Amino acid sequence: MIRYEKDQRVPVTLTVNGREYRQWIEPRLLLSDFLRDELGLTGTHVGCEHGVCGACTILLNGSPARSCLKLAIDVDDGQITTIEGLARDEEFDALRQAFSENHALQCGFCTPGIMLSVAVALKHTSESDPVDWDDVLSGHLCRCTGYVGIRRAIKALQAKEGGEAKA
Amino acid sequence: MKPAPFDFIRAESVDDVIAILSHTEDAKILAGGQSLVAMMNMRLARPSTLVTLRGVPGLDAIEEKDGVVTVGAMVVQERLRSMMGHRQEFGALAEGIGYIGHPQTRSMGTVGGSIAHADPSAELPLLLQVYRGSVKTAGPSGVRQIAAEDFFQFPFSTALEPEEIMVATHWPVPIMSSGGSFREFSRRRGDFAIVAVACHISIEHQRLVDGRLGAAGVAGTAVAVDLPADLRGQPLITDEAATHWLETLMPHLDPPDDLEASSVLRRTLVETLGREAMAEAWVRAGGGTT
Ligand code: FES
Ligand code: FES
Repeated sequence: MIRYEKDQRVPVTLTVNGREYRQWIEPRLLLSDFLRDELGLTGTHVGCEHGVCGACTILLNGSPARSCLKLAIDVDDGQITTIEGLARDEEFDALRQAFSENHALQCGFCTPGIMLSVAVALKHTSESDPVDWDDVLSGHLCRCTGYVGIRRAIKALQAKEGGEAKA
Repeated sequence: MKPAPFDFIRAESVDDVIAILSHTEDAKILAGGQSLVAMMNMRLARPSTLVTLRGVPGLDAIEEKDGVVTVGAMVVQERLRSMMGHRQEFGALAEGIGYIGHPQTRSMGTVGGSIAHADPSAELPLLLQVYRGSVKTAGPSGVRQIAAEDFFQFPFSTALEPEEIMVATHWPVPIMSSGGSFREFSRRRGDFAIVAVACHISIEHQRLVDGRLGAAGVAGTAVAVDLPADLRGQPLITDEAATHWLETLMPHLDPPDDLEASSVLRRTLVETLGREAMAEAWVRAGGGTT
């Protein structure tokens, strides 16, 4: 067993958006603060810091997760994707376009988190196992645009994918 | 809000954890962190020491042997849900897990964490009682197996001793012709349940042979009762039968009266959701409608 004192700096290694980082951090540092303050990746937003709003959503080893509920020290060796990483994906253009055309964002505070959740869910959807979008979006609070535009953007993306698959 | 400082220990075995819990004042076990880290961020919890189970081998296995499914304490909720999704005999389990938080928290939240946390409105403690499950613990004086009914004692408090750790939960596999149903009422999707109800029914030759009916959010712990003996052998869950079964559950309720809902509303919800869940479980078990 390994023990670290509260004010000790502890080395952690995390792969964020494909790049490996090794930093010395305090045990109590949240993953959200690690990304924003240590790495300067401010696309991950912080709203409530107690797991309610979903603004801080990232992908941890491929699954959507709230980065404010994870200690950076406890995800050592993890693979993380933030909105900055997603933005480098080929599929991101379609996502961005769909959000923009369907008025799926206004202030944009909730948007990075929602885009990551939507991107993962779209990847895992199939005709036999459709995504429960209410369930996915329930994990995100959008306080200014509302969900109608977001649902419309998702529909547009699905229609496009369906069309491409058929073509 | 940020957590207050704490010492951090990476345990490498269950024995490590027991040793730490035995020798450290106010140490807390960290599993998925979906409740604990939130409470630490709000400074509602300020443990002196945090012990992570992440490096302890063997806690994330799901095994089935001799009619019992053993779920390691660190198995994440979403994994159990997708594994149980097509098991009709565990019908209420996958459905109930679907009500825990959101996909973004079920991906990290663990089965063991939720059960050890013992929130009286939580889904998994209710499900463990409905499926007559038990908890396996390890401590300085060895391993214990505690039936779900004895495990949950008060809100957020269990039969776990301070130096004990929960290592797994056991879920006896019901007979094949079983069905289950889970119903929940909350203000928003994914919020804490105001009332949750689960029903499990087994039938043979179109007759009721076994069942469990339980509710959460209506007492200090989740509560569940067996199918009343005089309903065994019935060919259908009639309105009267449902009323009778509900009547055996009602004395166990002590619903809170708070800003979310009055105790009267909570009782009414148990009744309404209870009837729906019974009817659905009956049909899912393969019961006929005539
Ligand atoms: S900041 Fe993490 S859920 Fe709100
Ligand atoms: S776009 Fe402003 S909160 Fe969602």
